[in-house]
Amino acid sequence: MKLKKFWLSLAAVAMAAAMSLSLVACGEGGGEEPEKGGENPGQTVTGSVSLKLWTPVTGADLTVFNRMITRFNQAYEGQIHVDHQSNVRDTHYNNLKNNIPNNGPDIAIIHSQLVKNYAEKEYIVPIDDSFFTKETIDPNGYQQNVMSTLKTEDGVLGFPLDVHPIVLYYNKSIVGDNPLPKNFTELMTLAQKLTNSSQGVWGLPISTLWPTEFTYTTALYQEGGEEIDTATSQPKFNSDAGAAAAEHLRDIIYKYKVSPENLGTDADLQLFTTGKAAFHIQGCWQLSSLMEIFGDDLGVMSLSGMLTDKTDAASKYVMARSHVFCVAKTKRALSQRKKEAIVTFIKWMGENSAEWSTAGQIPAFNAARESDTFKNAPYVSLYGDPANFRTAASATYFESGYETVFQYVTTIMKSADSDIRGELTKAEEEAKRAVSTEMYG
Amino acid sequence: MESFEKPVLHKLTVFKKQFYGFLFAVPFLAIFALFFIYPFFSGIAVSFTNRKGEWVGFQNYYNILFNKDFVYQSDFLRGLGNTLLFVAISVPLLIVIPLFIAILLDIKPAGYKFFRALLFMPTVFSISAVVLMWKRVLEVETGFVDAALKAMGMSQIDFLGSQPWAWISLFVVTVWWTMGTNIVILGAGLKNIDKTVYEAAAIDGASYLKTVFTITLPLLAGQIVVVLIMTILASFNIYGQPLLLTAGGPERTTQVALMVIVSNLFDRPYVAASMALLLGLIMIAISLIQAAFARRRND
Amino acid sequence: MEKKPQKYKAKFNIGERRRKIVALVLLILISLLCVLPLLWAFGTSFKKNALTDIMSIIPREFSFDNYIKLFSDENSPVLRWLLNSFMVSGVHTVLYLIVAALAGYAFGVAKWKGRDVVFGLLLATAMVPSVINLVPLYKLITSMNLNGNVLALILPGLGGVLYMMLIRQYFMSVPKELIEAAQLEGLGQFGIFLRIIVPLCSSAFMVAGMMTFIGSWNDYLWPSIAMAGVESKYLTLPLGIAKLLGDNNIQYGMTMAGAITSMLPTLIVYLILQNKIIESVANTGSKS
Repeated sequence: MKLKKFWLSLAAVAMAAAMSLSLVACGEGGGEEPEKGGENPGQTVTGSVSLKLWTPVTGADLTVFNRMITRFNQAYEGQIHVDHQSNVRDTHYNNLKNNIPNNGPDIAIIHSQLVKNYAEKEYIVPIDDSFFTKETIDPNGYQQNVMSTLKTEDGVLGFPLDVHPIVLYYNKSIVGDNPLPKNFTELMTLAQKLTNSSQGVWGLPISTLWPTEFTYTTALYQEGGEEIDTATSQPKFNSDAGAAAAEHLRDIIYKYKVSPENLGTDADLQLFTTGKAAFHIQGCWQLSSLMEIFGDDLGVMSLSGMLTDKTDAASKYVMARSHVFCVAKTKRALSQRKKEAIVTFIKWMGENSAEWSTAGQIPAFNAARESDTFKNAPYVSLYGDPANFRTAASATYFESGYETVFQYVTTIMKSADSDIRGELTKAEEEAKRAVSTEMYG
Repeated sequence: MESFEKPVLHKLTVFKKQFYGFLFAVPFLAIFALFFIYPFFSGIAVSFTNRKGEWVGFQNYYNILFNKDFVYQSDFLRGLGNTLLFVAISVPLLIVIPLFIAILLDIKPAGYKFFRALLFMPTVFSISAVVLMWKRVLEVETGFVDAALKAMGMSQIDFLGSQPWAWISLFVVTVWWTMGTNIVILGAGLKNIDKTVYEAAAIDGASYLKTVFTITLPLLAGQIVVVLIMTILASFNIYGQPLLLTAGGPERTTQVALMVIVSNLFDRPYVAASMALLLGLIMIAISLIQAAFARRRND
Repeated sequence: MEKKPQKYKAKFNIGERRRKIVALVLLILISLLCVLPLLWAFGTSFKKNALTDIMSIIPREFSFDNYIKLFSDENSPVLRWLLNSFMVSGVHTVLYLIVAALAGYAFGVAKWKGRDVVFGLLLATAMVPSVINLVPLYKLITSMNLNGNVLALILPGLGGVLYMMLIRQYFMSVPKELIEAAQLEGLGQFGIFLRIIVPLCSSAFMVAGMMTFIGSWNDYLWPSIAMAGVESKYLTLPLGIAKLLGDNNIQYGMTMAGAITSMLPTLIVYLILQNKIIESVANTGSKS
């Protein structure tokens, strides 16, 4: 009896040990995968400040961006080390919401149109005077259109790295000696001429899904419209200009028939890369991969004035987005050394952003655009005058107040006889509700 | 002395025994309490609070179901409708098609094991690989089916971007991906049916098809009910296919309830929690009704 | 008189042979239809120019370029994703089998006060759909600081009731006499569990293990929430492939290579263990 009890308790102890061991083992298994990307055991040199940077930079841009980060880390070896982690856009923003302030980064790139919103929701903190104890950054040294959307009374919400517009690419071997178009009608005429259904070549294939937000907004600007009321975040796109813009996009497919119907995301890009498209509207961020595919056959021109037949100043606008460096709110103490390191990093990235133009991006730092690197970078001078690059209106609820329109534009672009004004009205109603949801919901 | 001590000792060993028995359940119960019981009640609590964590009673539920000022009201009702539509159509498909195939397999033609293995195979693939493949198959202009239609001189079909094709695509992908499980479970049921009943029926002169409907199916009823409940609950959890294949489009006609819940998760967890509870209640109600029906049939 | 049943038997056999042929033809057709997309994807992953050679199943120009690109691209560490998935699903399955087996013993074999009440409560919770716990579970792992940690994928599922009940049912079918005999020989509870029950119920572990592994391997919703925020190389396979799918990607052939690469390991495991796996699935149906 006694012996049995002994075995019994031994078994219980063994069981407990086995359990805890297995738990420890799995804890270790988990430990092998660092809790968060970016912890680099052994690499952090004592005395150096480690900065976590999260960005939505992907694709071909990423190679150039990582090269810049490596250069920065080499230049500041032993002082500052930047750990960079990039993700697809949606994931990037979910990650920020998910992890700030507990496990967030120190610095995050946020698209300019969202910066105000993220400040309002306290995901980021203003870069105020307390940051500039060692070095200073002059906000006036950056592209004014973007910078004007980032200033508040508490300081600056962030510093832009670039402005990235959409551009009009063309296949030189298809376009040949034809004179390049100067407005929408000319573009359509040429595209029709180049459309050759027997060879499966299209003049200007456009996807109904992406980059509709760039194409539609550019057309909206060029027709003289505005996306939003900056003070109230209420939509303003349901206007004559907004309707005209949507009509142009629909006409490309159904009136001029220079694009197949119902193209999904990147199907237009795939047609272009396989030599089945004369023109292609796409973000400047695809430049390097397109250069790789086309070599000398790649033509690039500005979309300025290309989605309207108007000729006023507004008709030259091209919609651009901007990557902005922001300081994430964190529960960890934001030491003075870290603040200084952040300023050093942002300043260095601005001053060295000419290299960023090799990825096809336009540096937001003015002096960088004066450099030889930028001036010699292929194609970027063909994007058009940077003064015409218009970034999103600065409003706290920009995304809710405007971006709901895109799926309605998709609907419009999917049918020859869609009710444009009706769809825009639906979009407007939903945008209003989206704003009130975000404010009170 | 001895006569007094014995019962006490006995009681003690019984207690020890009981305690040791309980010990075996401790790891499971601890994890279950932490990752199931606690979230369950905290989820209910969260659904009654607002952004600032203040108690607001049924306000979230009211907003979700009736308040037209907020986008998520229409989003949720639309999402719920889409989920119900998916359940209503996918469940019959996922019963009838696997049943048909299971009956074919039960006839045991040459190589039936091979076919069973082949048709079950897609279930072991992960959802994103499955969708990635099907997306390339169904895409406009660059897809396999598109090229095939073109080669046959037929007009283009926008499988992922227009209705009813987007739904049809989702059903095809879902059936392709998940039918294997039901084939195998129903097949196991068929296997257990005593083959002599067929022979008896054949002697009576009944045709094979008639035997299937009059003998096989009634004998399989229990198995079918199990498969039915499993399939309904799985179908309510529809998420990955529309998220990755159609992104909820066109015009959000395939944006299902779970997608709406997840899209509110980070910004408005209190709303997402209320939505999840509403969806969960509907699922519970349906399985209760099912269970009641099954019981009545058995009686 | 004696011939009559034989005659019917013969007729039955003829019908059966015809039925077998019809069934075979139908099964071949259905199988072809089901395998076609897989074959096409496989072929496409070896196409030199996937975009200009869409229709063919056998590539016009054969090349390994897509795979070379896929494996050399630092943005798509497919092998790493595979490894992560195997680790997560493997560790999860082993731990679950241990925890569930212990619980199965406690609820099926051992006797203690309140056992049936607790088990009844567990049984009732099996009806609660997991979606209800989605949001609070996310809040819980956030407060435990487990966002992006593999533990967030491994731990919560360990409290799953379904296969614990399955294991318990197998345990209960072990003859009482065996247990009593072992008790008489002086084996304690843990000894009975380890030496008698577990070896006799290896098929229970096979069934529960396979189903748990496949479930964990294919899980998408929860990992996509719990792992929001990790570096690309820490993703599980379904998340990684979804990233490949969502990225603005013009590497058409490469994405197919990604899909094929991610399917192969499970396919191989499946081909080796197919009988066991199919048996497992068949058993879950009958036991639940």
